[in-house]
Amino acid sequence: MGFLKDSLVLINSNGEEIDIDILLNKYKNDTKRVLVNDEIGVVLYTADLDIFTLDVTPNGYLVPKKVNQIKRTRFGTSVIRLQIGSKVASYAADTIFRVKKDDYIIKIRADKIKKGMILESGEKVY
Amino acid sequence: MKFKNEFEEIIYNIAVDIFGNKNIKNEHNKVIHIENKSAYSTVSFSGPPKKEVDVLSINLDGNLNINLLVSCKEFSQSKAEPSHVQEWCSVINTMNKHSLDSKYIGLVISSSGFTSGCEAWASSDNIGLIPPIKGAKISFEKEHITSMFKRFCTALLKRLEFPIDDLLNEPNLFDFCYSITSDFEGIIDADISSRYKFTDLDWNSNFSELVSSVFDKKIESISCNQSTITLSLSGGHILEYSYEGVRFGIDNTEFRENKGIPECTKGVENEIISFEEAKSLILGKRITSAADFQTYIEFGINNELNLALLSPNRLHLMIFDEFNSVAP
Repeated sequence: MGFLKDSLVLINSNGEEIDIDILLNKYKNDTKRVLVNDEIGVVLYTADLDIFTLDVTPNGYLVPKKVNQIKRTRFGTSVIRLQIGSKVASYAADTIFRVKKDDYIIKIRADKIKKGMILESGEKVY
Repeated sequence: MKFKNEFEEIIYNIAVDIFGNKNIKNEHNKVIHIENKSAYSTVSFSGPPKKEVDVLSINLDGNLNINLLVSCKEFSQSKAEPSHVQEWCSVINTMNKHSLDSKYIGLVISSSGFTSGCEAWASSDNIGLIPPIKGAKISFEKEHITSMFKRFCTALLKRLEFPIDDLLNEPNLFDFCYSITSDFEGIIDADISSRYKFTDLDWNSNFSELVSSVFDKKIESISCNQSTITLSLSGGHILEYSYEGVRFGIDNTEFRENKGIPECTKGVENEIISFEEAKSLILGKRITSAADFQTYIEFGINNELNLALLSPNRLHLMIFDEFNSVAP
């Protein structure tokens, strides 16, 4: 899955933080690994590089998740501030959240998310 | 090669450009059959399952024997509906289920987009959708949709260099297609124009990207010729101002004929100064702000002065200390 830079903290397998700019710069001439580089932006394949992102669980633990693809766009969508659970963060308007509705789960964009919604993870939107 | 419509021809030509002519077939009313026709479960009065489809078939890799089957939809009035996606899901599922050594992946591309109900079907059966469904009312132009297809094909071809078994499991191909095509929303909102050009490949850009590119960069030299005034900036960047617009980004010009001397003025009285004096005031200093007044462009330098590029051979400086001393 691709990620947006503004919601991404990257670490390597030793737990050391990776600067996304340095990472993209390091591989910018790797024609095999750069899946696309055009006027929309750049997409880099990272599944074999042991790169992880840190997800924050509702009880405050950091859980590493493998990152298969990193992308940077030239023109992102607008940015929205949201408080989800105890965490306040900025999200691109087209970031997708999975939200509980009745007895199923739907996708909702960040710019359409409303207070009181409960995410798939159980966190509430404030 | 016959095409049902212009859209299909554009899509075919893009696929040929990227994957090569010999790997691609475009067929109408083609009856596709399953590979394993002798399984007990496929026996019927009319023979094993077959389906008549219009299909763009792309053999992605000879060794892996992966085939991308593309369904190309063009409707003048309406969007593609779940039934169109369901049909393609059914085709891909059946082809894979009764395949001997081939693997099939599917993509539906619609020039008018999809209704929202299509997503769940495509995602659950691992079919890519172009344009992507983004949960908001966004009208993608046909030009954007063909660019999305080109981007998807380019990325998929590169992706074949790495293990791709994961892409064959739902919803990973759907997600891959979404991740490659979803960022076109940003460029639609970005209000890009040909006034701003990003130097790499002469991409159209906007003022916001111009500011990001030049902000906090040190001005290392300034030069001009008959048509362009050029600021060389730190980090190998440049900014070129001409009557056509503004070019900025990494300097990829090998040779620049810049022997001209611009007319230089300063202050509210338009006092004429020498080019050398102008250079002494701005070189080595950083750009701290920018404004585009369309007829000219202006940069704040070190919060000390404004540098206005009025034309390819005229610049004007407004030094804040001097301005404050004469202001009433």
